[in-house]
Amino acid sequence: MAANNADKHLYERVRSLDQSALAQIYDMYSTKIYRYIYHRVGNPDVAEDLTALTFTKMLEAIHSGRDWHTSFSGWLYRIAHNVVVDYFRKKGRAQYVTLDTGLPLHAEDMDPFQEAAKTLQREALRRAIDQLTPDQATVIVMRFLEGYSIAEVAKAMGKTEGAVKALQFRAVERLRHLMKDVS
Amino acid sequence: MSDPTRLERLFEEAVERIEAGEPVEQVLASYPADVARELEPLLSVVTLFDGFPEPPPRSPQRVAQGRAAFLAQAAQMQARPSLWDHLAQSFRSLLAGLSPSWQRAAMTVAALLVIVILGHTTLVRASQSLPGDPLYPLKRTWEGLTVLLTFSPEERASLQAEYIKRRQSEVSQVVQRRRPVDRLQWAGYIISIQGEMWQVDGQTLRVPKSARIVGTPAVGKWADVVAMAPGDGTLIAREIIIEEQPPVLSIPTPTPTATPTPSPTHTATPTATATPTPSPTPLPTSTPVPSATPTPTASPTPTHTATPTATPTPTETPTLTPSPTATPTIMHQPAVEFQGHIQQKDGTRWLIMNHIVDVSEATIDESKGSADVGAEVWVRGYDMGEYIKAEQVVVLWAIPHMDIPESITGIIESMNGDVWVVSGITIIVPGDAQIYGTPVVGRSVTVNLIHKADGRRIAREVYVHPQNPIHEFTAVLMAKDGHHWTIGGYVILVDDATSIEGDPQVGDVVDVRVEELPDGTYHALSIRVREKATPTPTPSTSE
Repeated sequence: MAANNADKHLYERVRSLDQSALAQIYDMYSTKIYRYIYHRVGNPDVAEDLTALTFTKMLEAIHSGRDWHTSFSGWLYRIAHNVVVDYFRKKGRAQYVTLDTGLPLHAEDMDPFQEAAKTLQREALRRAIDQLTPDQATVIVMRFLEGYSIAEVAKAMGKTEGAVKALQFRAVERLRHLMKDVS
Repeated sequence: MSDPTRLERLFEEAVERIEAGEPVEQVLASYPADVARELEPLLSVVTLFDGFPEPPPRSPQRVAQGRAAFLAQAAQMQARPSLWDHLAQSFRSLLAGLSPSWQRAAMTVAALLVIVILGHTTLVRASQSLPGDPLYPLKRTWEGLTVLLTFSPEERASLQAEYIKRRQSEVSQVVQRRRPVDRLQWAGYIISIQGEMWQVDGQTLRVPKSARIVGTPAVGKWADVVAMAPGDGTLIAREIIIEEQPPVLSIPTPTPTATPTPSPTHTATPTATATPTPSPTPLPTSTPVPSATPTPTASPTPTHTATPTATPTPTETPTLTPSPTATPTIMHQPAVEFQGHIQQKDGTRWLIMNHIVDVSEATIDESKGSADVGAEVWVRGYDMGEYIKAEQVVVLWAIPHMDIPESITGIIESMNGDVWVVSGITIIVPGDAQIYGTPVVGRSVTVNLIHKADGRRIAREVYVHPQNPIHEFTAVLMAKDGHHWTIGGYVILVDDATSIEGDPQVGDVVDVRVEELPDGTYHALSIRVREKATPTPTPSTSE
């Protein structure tokens, strides 16, 4: 309860653009948002830029009184999702080749053809995630790429576990259809 | 399988089993055929996520830069005028086009409208509000209206003086209540300046380098301060406008009483940094006037001229060395007592609230703290004309030690005993600091520390960042450009620290071991030729 009150107090201070509260929020969320965006774009530099943009949009929203209603973190992930979608809308996925900046595997483990196929599949999956709703995309990334449990995702998004399970199920069904279209 | 909720539940169950390491086929086989048929395509989507690469670690420098940029943006937004400011500005512009009599009429109507629209109760509530309260802007606007509607210059000056004091009191309350407020505004004399820590009218204020300062700050000058209160009982300056003296000098005192006011010697030094005071209305000084015991010897009270001026105001700096010849017998001098901050100390001559006080024969009570510059003291003594001969000085409030927590991320540049330099910042790392990891020169660390009022930074926790990630791979050496080689499409720094086995040439297949540097680039630790490039057959020229 004390932690909840402390969080509530922190978020209230964020609403008034209090510097120390914003610094705390940045420390708490910037890497989480970076990782979320990286999974969506597959490029660390772009992920860094879009993370910065997410926090800028967060400030603008607070300043203009369009802030969160129930869950701050759920709201922040929704901003990040929209930033990613906007990025690709403006830039166009087709022009952007995701390289998955991880280095190639050791010679013994590497099958270049299989690796190429996997890279294309990952890119198709990223494209498909862009077409999900913000909440669905957040659940998919947090659950299957960040490895959070349903309970953890529910807490981060300010939703019940049942709601997250339903979102997850619908998101996977939608991805299945989208991936079928791709293939 | 018609119940979607059941399928959702079974899907989650299957996902958890796969995450626990069970093969997908085994998981599917454990369900009835119809369920397995529905789950199979969904689980195949989930397995697609297996090959996604882990995000590379963020460079601490980039994180720090992003954080600083974010906070700077936030500060800029805070400084942007609110809707209320826009409205007030528009109203003022509207009034500027009217004659004075019409302006007053408009203001009267506006005030009446405010009362009618908001009601008396709201205005009473607003009058009790503090910065950060929703009604606070109304309080400030109401004050502005009352000043504008007060036609007598004396009354108006008195009102403005009251509002100056009210601002000072509000800041005290905000600090005492540890209330976070993003914008606080008040004005007062600079009592002390010690590094980043200033005292302005009894409030201790941190003035970071990022704060905008207009004018030349000095103890004794008047400062208009815009600051923020983070909510931890401290104040952080954003903007300080230095003025030589308050925008309004004195309340026109009706009649000189028998109470003498000590009159320190003022050395008038014109200064180019003085801010012209546009205020046409003389306001009362907020300098405390000693409340001396009335005596029949009515020495003339120094009268401050209340002439409005738009010319630079001369600096009034009391000198701490009054003429020793003017030492009348104490018993015939008027007794005075007053309270104020020590502005300056020069041996036994102290400057307290612009009064020169000789403390050579005084008893100094430091039971509540030491009588440092900035401390608030109560003084009892005798007015000797050019100075006050103190009989007793009691410290009422010593300078609090402001310990400000900070976090610094950077590279350890040197470690000399408990004195480290991290990215150019000297930090004391005492024996009781918690150190996580093995710090060595060149490693990246995050130090959580306390920035003391005296400027020292004392580390509490040191987190040594993990070493740069190491990657190994096999690829073709595609190009060599000095120290930068392209291997498998990646540009890799090759330097004297790189161990090279064989004679790598473009086209060779090489085993490479690289470290990923914080900026995302790669540095080769070792390169070994695995397979030489097949030599291209040279066409025979003899044919």
